[in-house]
Amino acid sequence: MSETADARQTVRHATDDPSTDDDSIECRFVQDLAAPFALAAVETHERLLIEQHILFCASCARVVRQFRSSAALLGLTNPVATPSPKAKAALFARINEASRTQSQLRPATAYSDFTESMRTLTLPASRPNPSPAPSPAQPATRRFSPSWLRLPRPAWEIGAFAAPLATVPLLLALGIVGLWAINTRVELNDRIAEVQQLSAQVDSLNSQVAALNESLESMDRFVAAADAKTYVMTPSAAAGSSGAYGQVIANPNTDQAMLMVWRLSGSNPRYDVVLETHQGTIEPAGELVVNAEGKGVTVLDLDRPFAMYRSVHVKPQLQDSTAGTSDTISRADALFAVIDPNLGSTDDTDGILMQSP
Amino acid sequence: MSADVDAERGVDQTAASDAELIARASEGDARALETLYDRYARVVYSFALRIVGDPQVAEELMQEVFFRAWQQGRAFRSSRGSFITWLLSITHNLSIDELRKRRRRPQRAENNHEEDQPLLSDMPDESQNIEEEVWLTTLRERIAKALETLPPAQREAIELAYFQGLTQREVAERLGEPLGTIKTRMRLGMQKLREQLGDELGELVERAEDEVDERE
Repeated sequence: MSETADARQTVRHATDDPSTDDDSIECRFVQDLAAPFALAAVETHERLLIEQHILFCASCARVVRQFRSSAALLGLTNPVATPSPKAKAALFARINEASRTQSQLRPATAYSDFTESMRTLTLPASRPNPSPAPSPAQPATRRFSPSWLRLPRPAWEIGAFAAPLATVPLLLALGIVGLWAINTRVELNDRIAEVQQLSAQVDSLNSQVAALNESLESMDRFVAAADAKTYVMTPSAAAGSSGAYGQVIANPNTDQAMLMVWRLSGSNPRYDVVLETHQGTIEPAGELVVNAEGKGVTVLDLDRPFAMYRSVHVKPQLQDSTAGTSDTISRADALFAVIDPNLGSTDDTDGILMQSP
Repeated sequence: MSADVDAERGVDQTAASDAELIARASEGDARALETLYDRYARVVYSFALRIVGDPQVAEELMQEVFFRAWQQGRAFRSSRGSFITWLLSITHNLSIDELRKRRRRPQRAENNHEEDQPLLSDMPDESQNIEEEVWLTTLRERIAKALETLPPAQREAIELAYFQGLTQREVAERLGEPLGTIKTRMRLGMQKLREQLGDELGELVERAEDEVDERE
């Protein structure tokens, strides 16, 4: 396993101890996004990550489900309108059509079709004996029959029954082979249905895994890129974060940058990340959530190439949700870094996620 | 025909619970699905119409919602939530997908007939079960009231995302606020809403549990 892959594991689960899974960065990330996820307001890669995570994390799945139930009820806050009657007719016509198609594919129907074909199986018709009408002497052959059965039968009738009787063993053999074929066919249909279902599940999982891998590979490529640089963030004693440490990995010529921090105050898990341009304007670049150990990672949301900024600031978030940009500026930095595109360390950034102060 | 069978068995579809009906519908009982349609078609259609704003598209979405409910009925678990929230979640996902698709592919002429669409909230509908209708109306009023208690900034962020299909980043751009602020507004707003709707959600879960008990 490469260092980067190890690092990814480190980021995804801060610890392998299941008892502290709730504190993992991924759980914090998912629970942080549970509300916007329920509102369908997250980006595709975030949605994929959350959907994957809640498959295996019961506590996050519960949080997401609660938000989704609340959000779904918002769908009732609309003026009531009535659809046209033809919509109902169209829906049920579609359902009938789908039911018919499904029932044609159903193994039970294949079985009944087959038995139906057996039922209508036709043998070569027995040809009536073309001999003339029976002579009066022929009834003597039935002399041992009881009198009440002694009915006059034409001679050709014997031949007419003899032919079908001769086919009885053939019919029995055909019946046995037919039943075997039916069973085999039903089993085969069941297996085909199971295989199709499993294939669909595998395809769905493959596509999800491919999307996640693409996202992670993109991050790997960015971190390992030759022109990526590392900027060390300095802690601010004024904000009570003197033990904190941070790094920004960025390509100065692009708008891609990633921020990692350690030992920030875990009592305040949320921080705003803002950047100051060379013109002195302040631009928000997203939110950083740290775990109980003060560890966190986030991809910065930049509007312009990284080199066009003068500094990066990490500021503790206030509980007041209505706080605006001006308020963000006035807050003391927990961490900050001055950006000089000519000075960033070009040390190998691959495996940087493993680093710790 | 299932209706005949029901009639022979004396099954009253209109009195059956949602969970019971969707279970029957997923086993191929079209009458059960029809009863669910009669109960919730207007709710689903109104919701889709509010999001996409086009009656024709809203009708298509509504058909798709019920078609999927019929197909995926076996996946519904009443222990995890009520049928109505499940149905509304499907409606929301499909409507938002459609809205975003239409945004990426701008329509030649905006086909918005929302104003032309008659709002029939005050009109009686004979096909509706009166008890269900009263329950839905009461629930609707309570949810609207809960939404009104949110601070306007939080409500605005939630409504822009939920009904207009904007991502949190797009909401931040639209309102000219930092992304972090919008995230916080959404989170706090939804938390408050969840607290406010606790009774309603509890009632829905109880309803679902009652339905399960009745079935058992």
